[in-house]
Amino acid sequence: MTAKDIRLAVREGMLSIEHVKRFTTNGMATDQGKMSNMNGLKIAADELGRPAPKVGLTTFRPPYTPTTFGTFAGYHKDELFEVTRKTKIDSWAEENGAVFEPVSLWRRAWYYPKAGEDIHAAVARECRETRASVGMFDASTLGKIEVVGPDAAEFMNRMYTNPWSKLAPGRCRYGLLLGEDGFIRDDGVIGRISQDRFHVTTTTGGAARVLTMMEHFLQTEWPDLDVWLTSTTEQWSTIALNGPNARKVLEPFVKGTDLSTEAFPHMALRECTVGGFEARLFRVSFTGELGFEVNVPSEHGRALWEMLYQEGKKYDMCVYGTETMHVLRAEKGYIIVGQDTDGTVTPADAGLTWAIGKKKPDFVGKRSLTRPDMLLSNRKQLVGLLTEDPSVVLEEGAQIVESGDTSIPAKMLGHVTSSYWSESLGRSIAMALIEGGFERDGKSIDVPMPGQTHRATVTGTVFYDPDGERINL
Amino acid sequence: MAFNTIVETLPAMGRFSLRCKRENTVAMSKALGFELPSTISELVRSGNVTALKLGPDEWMLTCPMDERAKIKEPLAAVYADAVHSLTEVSSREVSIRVSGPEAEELLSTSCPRNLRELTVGCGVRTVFDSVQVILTREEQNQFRLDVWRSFVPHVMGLLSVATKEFECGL
Repeated sequence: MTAKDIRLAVREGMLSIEHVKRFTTNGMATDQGKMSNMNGLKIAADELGRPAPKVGLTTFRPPYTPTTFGTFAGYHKDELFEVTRKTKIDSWAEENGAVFEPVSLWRRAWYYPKAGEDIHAAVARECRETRASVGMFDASTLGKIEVVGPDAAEFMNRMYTNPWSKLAPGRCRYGLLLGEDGFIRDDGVIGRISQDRFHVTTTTGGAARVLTMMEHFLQTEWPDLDVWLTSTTEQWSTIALNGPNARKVLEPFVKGTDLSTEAFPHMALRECTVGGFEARLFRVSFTGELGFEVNVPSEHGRALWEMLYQEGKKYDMCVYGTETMHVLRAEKGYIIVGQDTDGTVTPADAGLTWAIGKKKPDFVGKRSLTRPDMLLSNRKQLVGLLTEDPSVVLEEGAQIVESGDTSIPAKMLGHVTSSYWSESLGRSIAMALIEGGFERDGKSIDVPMPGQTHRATVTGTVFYDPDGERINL
Repeated sequence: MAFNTIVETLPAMGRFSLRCKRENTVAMSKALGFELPSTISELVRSGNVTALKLGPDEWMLTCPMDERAKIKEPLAAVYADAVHSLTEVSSREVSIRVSGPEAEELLSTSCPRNLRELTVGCGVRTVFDSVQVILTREEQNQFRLDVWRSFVPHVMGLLSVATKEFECGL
């Protein structure tokens, strides 16, 4: 806005300074009049041929004097610009050349390049070494909530889609959390420590949100339940070991439990000591390989990490970051809430109806799952995609159209949610949310991308070890 | 102007979050061997164990690391008759002590509470900048901040900048 605009306002008949303000927006927005009001008034007064005091002032609000950006920013600059949460193992990652990425407030090791490696080479190597022998991953940022009390199982039954009553202490189960609208909100492996105590894990970004949602239901809907919730995210450092040699790396440090697959099967948990530290040891896998997650009091995380790292050298163990974790889980079709789901995805859309306790009278979101719209067969459903040219890695977020549809604009059927180069398969893989996706199995779709449209075949989402044999080593 | 306030992190200590129904408070106190505080923000000390009441049904218990059994065992023994939740959070938090004549003013740089109203022997859950903390006034010129581990560098960084400002007389 210029002085000319104020003179125009006066000529247009805006005789009051309040009208001049509304006609021109002078004095609104960022400066709130601190710089422009008096200058604007003088110009308007000049055009009106009256002294400024006779033209009047608009209503002043605090702050009455210009305020610097520095005052607003306070101490929030450089390292203190905002909180950067780091795990106890982060310092090791930094000393060992990790490249980091932000995940909610956390910074996490993204990949560990060796000399001369770019991200693609590093991630391909980390994937190869983990599947061939063993890889170690810092999973400490996973949200953790301790659910305790005689009504703990009942509370879990009501919150999560899965049944919990019959889960024996010492076992764990994949848990799926919906909103009241029936859409997927969060997921994670949940262990039953004892009859009245559950160790719940959430996604890294979902930790605070899930605890708030649980407290909301507990305090407002079910205050009669004897159960209490405590955030334990930072009580534990969590180290994941995955790969056919994971047991060999871990075994020398474990006291108080037998790690053989007979005594300690997939989806079991034990309280024991690892490396002399009290531990909650889970046998779980987010890679499709034999996998363990060791939880120790967080202050000991780095000490245990270094012990395991030394032992791992005997087996050419690699350390891997979040990118390799993403690739390995995608090869198995394991979803990431918030990436493969977007707040409009039901368990059925994601192929997770198996995670719903069919006999349970109720759980958060249950009633919404039978609304007519939720049962339509042309909903967007999560499927796998294999490009015709195996070297093409689709762009995440790319739109999907009918095969051969060249109309402009073409009808968009969905989008690519996850897409990677799979070193294990020697080709690209992708997941996508597509209208009526399940019925398109085996059929072609097109993915227009800058420069070229790529054809791909709709498949299931499990690309690697479809029978799940590697997990049971 | 001399500035004589010290900011330091404390060694690990045993910490437990205790939750229970009102009617079981008596049983909890009996098991622990001392009366749990009944007023929110009241801190009670019994030997090496402290109990701070944070909410209507919530206490934070602390003890030396090697005496955690003194809290765990007696409460576990009464669980069947007086249900409750005792969850260990020893490693979740790190304590920061701020002591010296300017302690209150130093903390006021990032804590919105009127710290003059926080009397000796009281503790509250509050925020320091954007970080949730438990702030206890241990003595007139001595405070303790219990901070979740990953937020400690942020809190220490803010206290360090504020300290520098005080030291150069701002």
